Amino acid sequence: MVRPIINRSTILRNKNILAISITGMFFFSAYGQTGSLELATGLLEQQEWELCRRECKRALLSGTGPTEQFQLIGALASNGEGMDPALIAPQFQLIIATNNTPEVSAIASYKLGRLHWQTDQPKAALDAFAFSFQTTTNKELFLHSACSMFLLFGDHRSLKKNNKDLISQINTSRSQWYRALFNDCAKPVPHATQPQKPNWVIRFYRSQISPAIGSRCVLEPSCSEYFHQAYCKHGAASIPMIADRLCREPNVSHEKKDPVVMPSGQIRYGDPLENHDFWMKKQ
Amino acid sequence: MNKKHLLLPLIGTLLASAAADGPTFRLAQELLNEKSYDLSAVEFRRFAMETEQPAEQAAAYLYSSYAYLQSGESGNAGEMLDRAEDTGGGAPYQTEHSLLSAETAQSKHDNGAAFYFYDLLAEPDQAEDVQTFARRRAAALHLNAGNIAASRLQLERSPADETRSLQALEVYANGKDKSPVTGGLWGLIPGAGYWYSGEIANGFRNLILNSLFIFGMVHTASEDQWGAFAAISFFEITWYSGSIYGGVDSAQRYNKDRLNTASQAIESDMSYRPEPEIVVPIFKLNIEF
Repeated sequence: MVRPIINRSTILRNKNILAISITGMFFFSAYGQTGSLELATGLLEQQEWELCRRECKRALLSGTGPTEQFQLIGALASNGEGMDPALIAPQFQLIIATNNTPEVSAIASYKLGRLHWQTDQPKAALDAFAFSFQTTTNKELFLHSACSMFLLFGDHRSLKKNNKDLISQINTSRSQWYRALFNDCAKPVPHATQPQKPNWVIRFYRSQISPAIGSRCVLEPSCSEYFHQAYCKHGAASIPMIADRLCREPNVSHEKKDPVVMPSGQIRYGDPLENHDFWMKKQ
Repeated sequence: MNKKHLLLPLIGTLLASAAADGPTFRLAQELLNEKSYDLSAVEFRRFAMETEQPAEQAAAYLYSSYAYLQSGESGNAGEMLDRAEDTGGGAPYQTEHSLLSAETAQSKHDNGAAFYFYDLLAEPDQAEDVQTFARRRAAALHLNAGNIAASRLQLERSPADETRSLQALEVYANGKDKSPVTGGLWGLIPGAGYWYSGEIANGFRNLILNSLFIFGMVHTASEDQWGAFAAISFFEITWYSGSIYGGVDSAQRYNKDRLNTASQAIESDMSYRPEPEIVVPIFKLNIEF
């Protein structure tokens, strides 16, 4: 059964990674879907990256279903998860090189182009977009490739020199472009998956004071972590918040509500930031 | 605690098929029992895609929705409910579907939709236990939305004896919230903000810390030790601002605790979970009081 992907995609608006995945769904639907493939595409749409990759690996290992499509979905999930572009690009290159299905190669090529653009390799990005643009029979992918090249030319004007034919081909599709296409095709930004670095006060405490006095905090998160979270969320307001936490600490540990067993076996008592800033969010 | 297990009135024909006896469904159930909700939801979805029986598909999607709901992924839970409906095999599970829809809407903070589904579940043609569940849930939801009159009305219409719940509601209605603004103003006097909300020990702790650091400031200033004065002043500002913040925060916590206590008393530790003994894919919810 082919599900109405377009309707469900509304929840994924402005998610660049999925714009082309959804394009891919049209392609998959044309080929009919096995249960695993539908499950993998569903997990991809829901941005359950890890589960999606696991599902693809499982299908590839069991040898059931269309291999090239699982490879592509797995690579798209890795991309969505924020994996290092240097590790994902070879996956797309492999799909393009070994694939017998032109449409899968076109999707992989488009995604490869975006990875190259993200890592500031405009020439390689242009080649990949051009391949996708010239190979695909899917209208959405065609428009995405064209618009991506148009924006890439805007970023790197020197690329225009030897590509006049390509530019004129792109211009033929411009009448079909729409506003959301520009958002989908804008230059990709790297995923911000790294947690924010603690400020110098916390770093000083953790490196110089905590080792001397030992891990004394009986609350979870610890007071330094609480201060870090509060600082990231509320800036200077974190100062009164940590003072309040230090005053309340004996009471919270005495009440023994919400015990948390730490990996070391130590028992701490939960006092998360959410319990003390819920009213700030409301305001 | 007095607990009774009540089965929701169900259930269509038992549909045992080759797929149902297969490992996928059992694996999904075991994962659910182990509270590995994410993995369980995926396995139920896999089962739904493997089987060709619409009723089994619907049951598997409902299980999946339940698992997603438990893992806090209400968006996915809602989507699984849509899929269960799309299979065309969901007729035996309308009550379960409405219940999960209500819970999903509630976790999405979509009170309008939640009230709609709880109203459906509170219809007279539903089993008494289902009606009670829906009325109590709706009452707690109204209370959280600040509508005490609507909450009382729901409890009065419940088919069960709601004396305890109504008493809890009256206690809440007759009580008084603490004003966070007043708490903050009291906090200008070190520790008094905490006392305003009944946190006596916290207030004294804050008062002692402020007193010590103010004494330190006065002492260092009188000794012309301006470096030490600056360092102590920095910490004193921290404790003093903590007193004001603590006054506001303790009032907010006081109000939240009061509301939670009343809501919990109204809901009386109600919960629901799928029947764990089923091996073939039918969906069955147990409501627990």
